[in-house]
Amino acid sequence: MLGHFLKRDFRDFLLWWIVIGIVTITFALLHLVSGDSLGPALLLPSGYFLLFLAYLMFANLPMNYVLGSLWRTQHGWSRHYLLALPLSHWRLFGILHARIAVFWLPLIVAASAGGVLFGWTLRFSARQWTLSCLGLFTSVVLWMEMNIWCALLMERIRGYISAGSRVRAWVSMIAVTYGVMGLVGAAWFNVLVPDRAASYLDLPRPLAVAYWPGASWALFPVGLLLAALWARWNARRWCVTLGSGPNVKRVDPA
Amino acid sequence: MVSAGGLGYRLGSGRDILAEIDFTLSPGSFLAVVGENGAGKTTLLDLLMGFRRRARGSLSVLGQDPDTDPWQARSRIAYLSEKIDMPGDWVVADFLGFHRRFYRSYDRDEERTLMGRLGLRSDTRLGTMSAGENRRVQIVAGLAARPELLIADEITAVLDILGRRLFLALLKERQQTMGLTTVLATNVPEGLDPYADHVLVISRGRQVAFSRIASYVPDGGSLADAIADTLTTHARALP
Repeated sequence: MLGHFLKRDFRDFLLWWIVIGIVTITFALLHLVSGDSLGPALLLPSGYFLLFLAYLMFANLPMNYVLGSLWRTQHGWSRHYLLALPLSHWRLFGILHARIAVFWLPLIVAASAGGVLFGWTLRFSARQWTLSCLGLFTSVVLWMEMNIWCALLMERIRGYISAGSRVRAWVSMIAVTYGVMGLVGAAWFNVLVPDRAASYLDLPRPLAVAYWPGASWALFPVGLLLAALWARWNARRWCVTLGSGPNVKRVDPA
Repeated sequence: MVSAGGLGYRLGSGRDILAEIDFTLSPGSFLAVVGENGAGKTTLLDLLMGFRRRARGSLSVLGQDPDTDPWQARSRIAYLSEKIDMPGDWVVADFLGFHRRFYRSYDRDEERTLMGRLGLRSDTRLGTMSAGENRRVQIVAGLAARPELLIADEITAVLDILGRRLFLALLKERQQTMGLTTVLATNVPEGLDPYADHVLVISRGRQVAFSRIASYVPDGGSLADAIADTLTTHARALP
């Protein structure tokens, strides 16, 4: 059944796959012609960051469509349709994750291949290799759950809640987004920047954890744990049968 | 087939939306759920489908508790609702092709017949169809799956008069030939008399009548008038 959904997703997002393909080819051609001059020209360490940004935006693209969000466009389907299908809601929730994960593939492939193509990972120690793999997995699942959470929170915001609740929801969305970016950023900094170089950087106190030796060994597992708890929370918000007890607080699908 | 006992639903804020709903439907029945706007009709149907979790009472649909995610039972249910949207970029054939994969009992001959009777073309883009035409596509998808139970939430309101009559006639046919059970929530009870055999009237979240239509409607009267009388009486009884 997953294939049935994926085939349909591919057809529905074909134009976007073509766009991301063109972006990739353009980047590769530019790189062949002028090396990595694009990044420095834009005051970035590498032009590769731009490609990453494009892939990150691409990964966020299908969120409302896949979730059947309340604030979907007329090109999406409603959650009522999905939930009425004769599929277990847990299975459907798993399928939903797999469908979203497909849109992360360009970024995952780029992150894996980039290190080899540009020689970043050639100098990696075994520790950095291990942490990079763990970090990539953690970053993707954490970001994915955050995106699902944000989309579900937007449903709440556009619903009939008080102005105070709306403000709290917006503030929590912003705070959580920066929190996740901070956690993931600090962990990657800890992996990629050598301890000696890091100690010269005058980071703000909350981010100082980024240059504690070995901090990423703790940060990534914490991220994974957070993602697991978040998935549980998101499931209950997405569908009431995935929660427990009466009147699970949730946004009713419409 | 469907039974509710002391069924209630309460919002997280503590406000009761539905309370003390009691009814039992045997296979092959046609229940019209009516009530004023905001009475709780849609909430009741959401409870039947497991979209909301009941706060109290018992509920059984096709012998299963909807709160437990009885997904196998859903293959025997057709759910039609104004809340069901399909991607506007799809053509009708895309949607039906996607939908039929989920239902083992889906009958393509039936689908073709229904498409013809409802005046639909398979190459029409869903986004360019009117709300009523979209509902017709839903009807085809729902009925071609040969369900035992059809739950329809205010789907007739957007159908034109001929579409509404045809839809009700299709349900009646299936009731007689296949024993289809129907639960239809509607704000428009006019013209339901020849089709429905039970009526559930809800007012402000409370059940004010559940009866066979034959015994509910006075001689020479209409279902719509009887419902209007019930709702008026109930409104007067409130402080």
